[in-house]
Amino acid sequence: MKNFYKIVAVVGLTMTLVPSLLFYFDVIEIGQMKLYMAVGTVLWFSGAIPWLGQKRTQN
Amino acid sequence: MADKSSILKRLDSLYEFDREPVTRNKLQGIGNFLGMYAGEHVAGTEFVIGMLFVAHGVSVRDMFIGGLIGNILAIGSWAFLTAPIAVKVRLSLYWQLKKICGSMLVFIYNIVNALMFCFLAGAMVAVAATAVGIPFGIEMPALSDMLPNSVGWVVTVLGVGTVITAMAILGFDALARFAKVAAPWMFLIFVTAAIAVLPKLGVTPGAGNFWEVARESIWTGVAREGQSQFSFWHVVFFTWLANAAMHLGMSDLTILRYAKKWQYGFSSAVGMFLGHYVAWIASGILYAAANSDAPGVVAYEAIGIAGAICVVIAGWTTANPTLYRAGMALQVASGWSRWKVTLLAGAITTTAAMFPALVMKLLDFVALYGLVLIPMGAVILADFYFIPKLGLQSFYAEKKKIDFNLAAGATWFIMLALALFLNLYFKIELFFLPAPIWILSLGAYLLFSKMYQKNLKLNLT
Repeated sequence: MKNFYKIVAVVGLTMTLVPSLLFYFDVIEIGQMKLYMAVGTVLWFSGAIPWLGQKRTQN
Repeated sequence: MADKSSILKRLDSLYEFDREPVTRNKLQGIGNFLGMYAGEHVAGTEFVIGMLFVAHGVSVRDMFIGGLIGNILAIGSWAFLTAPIAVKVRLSLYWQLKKICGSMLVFIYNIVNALMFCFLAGAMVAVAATAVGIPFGIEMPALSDMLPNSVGWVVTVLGVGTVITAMAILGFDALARFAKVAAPWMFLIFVTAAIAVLPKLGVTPGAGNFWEVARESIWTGVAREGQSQFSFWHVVFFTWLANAAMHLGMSDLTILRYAKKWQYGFSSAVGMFLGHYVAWIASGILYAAANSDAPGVVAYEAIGIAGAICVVIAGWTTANPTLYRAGMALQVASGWSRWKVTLLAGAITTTAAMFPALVMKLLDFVALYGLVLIPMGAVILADFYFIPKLGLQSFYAEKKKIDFNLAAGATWFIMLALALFLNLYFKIELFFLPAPIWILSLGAYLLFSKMYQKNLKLNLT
């Protein structure tokens, strides 16, 4: 299950980065870029919170 | 308010868990420090600082070269000044200061630190509010606004401050873990948002005109109306001393005492170059392309809801630990329970956040924060390296069982008075004061210690 969350998080992070590059290179429109990045944000937190947000000992 | 001895007992009990020096089995690998510095220095403040550099008319050279030099100086301060003491003594800032200065002076230091934390958290609440207010169409403050500019703004800040305070009371630990999760994504948002607005500024693939656009539209070298003109040296000194409290001020002794060797101080480079270089450059690019002075609107205009969410999270995750630390310090003074002091800290923070000055003058506030605390860092360094060489007693308060080391107290208060004098009468700007004040504090502590320790010895014989 942890691997699943990892994959979701990495896909989310990729969708945070790549759309802006695609927009910069005029491959997609600005509205699409904003949408993909919003989706990427949701995916990142959906995956990263269960994957990385483990309880640790406070200093 | 409780009496002195109960305050001092509470102060000690707050830090009881790390009273002893860190033992070898508790030391941590470099990965921990790299992650910590990266996460801590890509924060809500980065949105604002990069924007304000543009507003103050820094040039391309100032930003790229001045920023590089300033960050190298900051990293050097951590590595060569803070880390060597941290790995030798292995105590937290609290205990090391207490041994030198005595409980009462440390108590005063804690309270001052708490107030500064409240105002810093307030700036972050305001930053988050600039994003939260977007769907409600509230009138955002402008660069020149020092006072609350609309009822909508006040209500939004009140709402955001209340939620942030409530969540700090209910679950600081969970929020701290959330902040670690958010960190890599936040950094990417800075970078991708900057890439996304480059076409709007006229930078297109293959045109090779980034530097030309940067000179003409972003870091133009001309301050915006109503803003003071910054120079190369403003950027160098601000970048170097933005975290003065942590390196020259020695508060990162608390972190670096877990380092296996002093060279781990260089791990601060990750935070400096990701946060205080790339993120500041990115937010400058964003601001140049924006039609607003409000960070939330700037980010939303660039990349939509992801940008606005980033500003909320950046402000929130920076406000949360600062509220927590402020609460801890106030807890000692009041004896109240944790939730009550966090509520008090939250109230101070939220009230401060209503004044846009806290955001629009963030550079000045950050400089002031470092300046106020930096003399005590000099006291620590002087005590470690030079006091024994002069035949004097280090950890003097502990050795003599005193609550207030007059030499340390005099150093702190007199150096701050000197800083105020230099600022008011010689018009030396805040950004240029911490470095000389730190150096003078070294000398002052040694001089005052020579007088004080001799006098105390005479009085006791």
